[in-house]
Amino acid sequence: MSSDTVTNIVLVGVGGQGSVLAGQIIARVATLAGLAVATSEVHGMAQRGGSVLSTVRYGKEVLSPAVPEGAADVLLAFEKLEALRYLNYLKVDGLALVNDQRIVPSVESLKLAPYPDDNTIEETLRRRTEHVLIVPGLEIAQQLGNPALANTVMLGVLSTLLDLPHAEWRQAITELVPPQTLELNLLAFAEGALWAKKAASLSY
Amino acid sequence: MTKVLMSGNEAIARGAWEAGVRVGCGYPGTPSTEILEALARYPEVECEWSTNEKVALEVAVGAAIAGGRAIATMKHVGLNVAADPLFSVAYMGVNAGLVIVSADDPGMHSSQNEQDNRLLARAARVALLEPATPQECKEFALAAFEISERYDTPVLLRTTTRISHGKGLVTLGERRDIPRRPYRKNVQKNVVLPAHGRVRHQLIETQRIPALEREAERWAQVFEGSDDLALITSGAAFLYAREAFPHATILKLGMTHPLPRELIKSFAQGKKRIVVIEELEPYLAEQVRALGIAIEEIHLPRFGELSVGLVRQAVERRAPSARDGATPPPVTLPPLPPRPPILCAGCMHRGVFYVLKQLDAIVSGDIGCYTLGALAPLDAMDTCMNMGASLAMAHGMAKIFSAEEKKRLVAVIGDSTFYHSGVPALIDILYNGGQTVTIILDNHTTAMTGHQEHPGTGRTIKGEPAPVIELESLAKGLGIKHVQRVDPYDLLAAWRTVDAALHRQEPSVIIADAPCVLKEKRRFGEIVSVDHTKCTECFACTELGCPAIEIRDGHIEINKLLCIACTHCQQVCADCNAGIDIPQVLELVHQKRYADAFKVLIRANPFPAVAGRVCPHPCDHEVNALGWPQEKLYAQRYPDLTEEFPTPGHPAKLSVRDVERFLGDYGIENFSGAEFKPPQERPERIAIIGSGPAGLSAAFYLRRRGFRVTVLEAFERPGGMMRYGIPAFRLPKEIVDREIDRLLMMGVEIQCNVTVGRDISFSELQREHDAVVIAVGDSAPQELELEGTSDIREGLLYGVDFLRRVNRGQEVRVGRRVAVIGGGNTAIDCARSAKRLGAEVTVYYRRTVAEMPAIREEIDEAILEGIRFEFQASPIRVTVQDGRVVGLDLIRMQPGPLDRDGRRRPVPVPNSEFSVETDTVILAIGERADLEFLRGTGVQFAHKIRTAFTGAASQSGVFACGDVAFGYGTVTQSIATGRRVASTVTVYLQRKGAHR
Repeated sequence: MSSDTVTNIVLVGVGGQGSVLAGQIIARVATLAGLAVATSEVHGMAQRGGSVLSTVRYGKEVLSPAVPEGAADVLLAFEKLEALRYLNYLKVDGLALVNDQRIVPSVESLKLAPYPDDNTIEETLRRRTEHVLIVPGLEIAQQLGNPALANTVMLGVLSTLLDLPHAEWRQAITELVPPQTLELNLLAFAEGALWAKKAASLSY
Repeated sequence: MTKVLMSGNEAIARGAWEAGVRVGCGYPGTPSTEILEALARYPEVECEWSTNEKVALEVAVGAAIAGGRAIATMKHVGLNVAADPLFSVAYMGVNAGLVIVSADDPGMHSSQNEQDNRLLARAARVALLEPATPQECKEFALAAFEISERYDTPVLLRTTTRISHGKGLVTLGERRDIPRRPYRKNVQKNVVLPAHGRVRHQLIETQRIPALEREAERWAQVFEGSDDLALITSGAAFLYAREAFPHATILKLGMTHPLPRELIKSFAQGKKRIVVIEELEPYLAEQVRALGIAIEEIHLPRFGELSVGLVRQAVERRAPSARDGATPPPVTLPPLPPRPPILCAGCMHRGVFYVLKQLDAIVSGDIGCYTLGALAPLDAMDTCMNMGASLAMAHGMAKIFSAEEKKRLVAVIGDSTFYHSGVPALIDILYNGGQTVTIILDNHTTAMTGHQEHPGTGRTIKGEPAPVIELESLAKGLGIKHVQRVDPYDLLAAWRTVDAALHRQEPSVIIADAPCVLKEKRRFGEIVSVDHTKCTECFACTELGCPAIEIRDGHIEINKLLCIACTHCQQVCADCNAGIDIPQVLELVHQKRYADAFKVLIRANPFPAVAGRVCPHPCDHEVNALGWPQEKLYAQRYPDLTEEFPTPGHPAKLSVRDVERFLGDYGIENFSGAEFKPPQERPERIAIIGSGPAGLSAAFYLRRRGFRVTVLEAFERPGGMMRYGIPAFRLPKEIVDREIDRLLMMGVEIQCNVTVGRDISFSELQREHDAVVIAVGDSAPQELELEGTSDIREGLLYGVDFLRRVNRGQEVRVGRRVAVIGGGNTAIDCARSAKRLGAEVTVYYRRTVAEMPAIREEIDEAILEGIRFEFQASPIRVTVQDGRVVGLDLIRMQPGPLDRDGRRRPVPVPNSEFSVETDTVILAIGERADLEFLRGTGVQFAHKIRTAFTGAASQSGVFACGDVAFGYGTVTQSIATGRRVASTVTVYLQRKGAHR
């Protein structure tokens, strides 16, 4: 049960961005790799454009799907404000993988606090970890012609950073995305992985 | 053995299938919905979405008594609906196995309460199983049928959100071939006459419960660990406990009613420290303590979801804020805007709730996506209690309400909810002489829980065709005379239908009919975009609360990823500077309901008589800022109004401004202001600096909400630009007085001759008030560097000063020839005022006539009055003789490169200087704010006060509106910013109050 043998991923975003599906894909990859998996997600009212959090845990033995605060190895954020909101789930020096997309909350919400600027977001993230990766997920998805692919682009990036076998990713995607979007999703996944490799070669 | 990743819900369905279940029924409800959806995919199982949970359980009981294994699934509150059959079948017992699943929702992710249904199992005297993992979900569901049959009891299988929606690996088995049990008539058991019930209850207490207690031992599991800490737990709480204390000794209970008391006692023996870990009610703790076991008192909250952190803290007796060895200290986050769930972009419910808000309706709401209509900015729901309650609650309210209140009362219910439990209430209303207006929001699906079929969709849970129980015929069949369908995307039609129903003395049913956009993925037409040259930034469209309408850098933008072109915002946009709901106002004026129209008008503009005289009326754009031909529609809809209020020079065009003036004058005659006194006083004090249109608008809307408002005015009378800027020939001062009187009647305090920074310091104001709103306007003239102006004693005037003196009735002397420099409203007002003082006036403006920011009609009037205009001319020096102005040198201008705001900057034409003779030069090239009083206060400003679009300044509790913050430069837009800041201040003070 020790977290050393379990990888904890927290996925956050805005209801409708496809974070639940992304979590299912990661869970499926881990299953295909022969690992134990537990996930949790929210349904119902919380999904209506609200802030959403789901979790994926995999390893030799996993019981609870809940990831305690400060215990996530990866914070996979599909939206920047949500990355900040759930930052404290990330362990110190964990990986913050953030889609460079701003979804402005309602006018009513903005009466309570402004949307933080990019600098504030990055600086705050860096107070938890130096491993902050801002990914142009939405931009890449838009270049592929469908902004809804951003979640798969992010999975492409993530796939290069987790110790899960590559072939299983493609299989999981094939099994789980709607068949008519499969080709585009595989392309988006490949583009994400490619971006990650380029980014890695630039930073070293 | 195949292992598959499954959710708890899918695993329960699998377990039931493996148990040979024959019948599955339920009603959708988060977090239970997917159980029956998954079960319906097995062809061997007959499944149905029942109309409600009570029906579902009754169907399942029937099936079980007839000899087939059956399961009924529901969320926790659904079990309340099914409680009647639950408590009875508990006495009856079963024939074939009967399992009831209750999916509880601690933390209320998607529910109205977080009741703990373990208590219901105990109250009903039935067996209760609590799985903790997906694998257990399958195993427990499978075994539940056997327990049910062996002990002749219904079994309640209780999950929670985390168990139902958590996924894990599940080992699959095969379906068992369970033969049908024979049906035998057994009146003593199956007819719950009192005489039979007495016997059954006794049997249950003397036989069933003791037997089950022994059975419960088989479902308990001990995880051996250290002797220092022994935990007793079950369900999801077990997961948290095990995660938090992997080395503790744990007694995990699987059957929690009845409890295996002997086993618990022997577990407790010799344990030093025993702690019970459970979510919500102290269900286990109280019973374990009753066994005489000394359990340690810990402080787990009796509300909300548990977490590993909470369990760890409670057991280690740490305060929640204290540092935890395994939890790193949290990073302090900046204040973040919340992101609650919201109706989808293009949702049909939005149209209905917008109309209900327009009508200021009292709304008895119900359970579904549409409950989100209760949230700001729609704010269109007064009550929401439980499934189907809306109709009967409205009926009850009507028994007490006054005639006025009854005219605003509606019940709103979703289609699925109406079938669920709205129908009996509708019958009640009709039978008992009620008059309630019922709006059925018919989006053709059970949307909230993920688009399940229902009796109106024409499909069963298995996707097979089914008869449609048609809402319209149902209501008519009951005897409701007024049953109407409306298109919720046609706001005016919906308004008319609901308004008419409210004025009727009979019950009516309105069916708002359009499919759920999330299900049908509709797109109506061209995606909407904003024409920023027309957008007045009144933010009326944001009143819809549509997630596709965003504010970026203070401007309205449509998010193209979200917009589906539903046209709601286009219909709402009236291109009104003040954000008035013009479509509704016109409809009411057309119906000659002037008082109602005035009340709608004043929701957005407390100075309609002023605005009706001075507004530049962008509302007459042929196509509005969101691409809707609003102006043409007005003329088509209301030929009567067009005839009564024609636009001068365009008889086919309705002059909305003239309607506004008419209503404004009507309001002056018929409303003293006392009508707008707040219904309740609030204690917070607010200071507003400046009594111009922005400051007074903020004062009006804050006072209406009950705040104590004091307005400080530096001059001798209130009104700002309305009094001292705009000349009386355009705006009679009596009108300004009468409209300001209304504010005084409401209890707004206005202190004149008080200059902040001189008579009272800004920080003193802050100390004495809960919020300060700065609305000082741009009252100081913008100075122009002109050669020769340094030694002028006579003949050089500044526009605002000049107008102020004229408006105060002070003596102002101008020469015979007056040159006015500038192209805005101040320049034109100066020119026309100077003309009235007998001068020959020429206006010099550096750009072309088309670029003049002044109101078009004012320029036309000025020309008619004989004022000359020289365009594309800019002054360079004033000629002075003996300290007196005698002439002006100018240079011709031409359009140059594009400016930042997209206009061409004028540049001088070389060698084009020319001179004119003049006695007076009036500089009216603009105004600026005098913000010296803010120096050193920490409130950030440059030329203007730095604010967010909401009007919140850089310092908490300080706000600004009008020209000093936004600089729109018209009375009507300033009014809009005042109203906006009032709303921001309200949110701020409510939050501050909540934290006290």
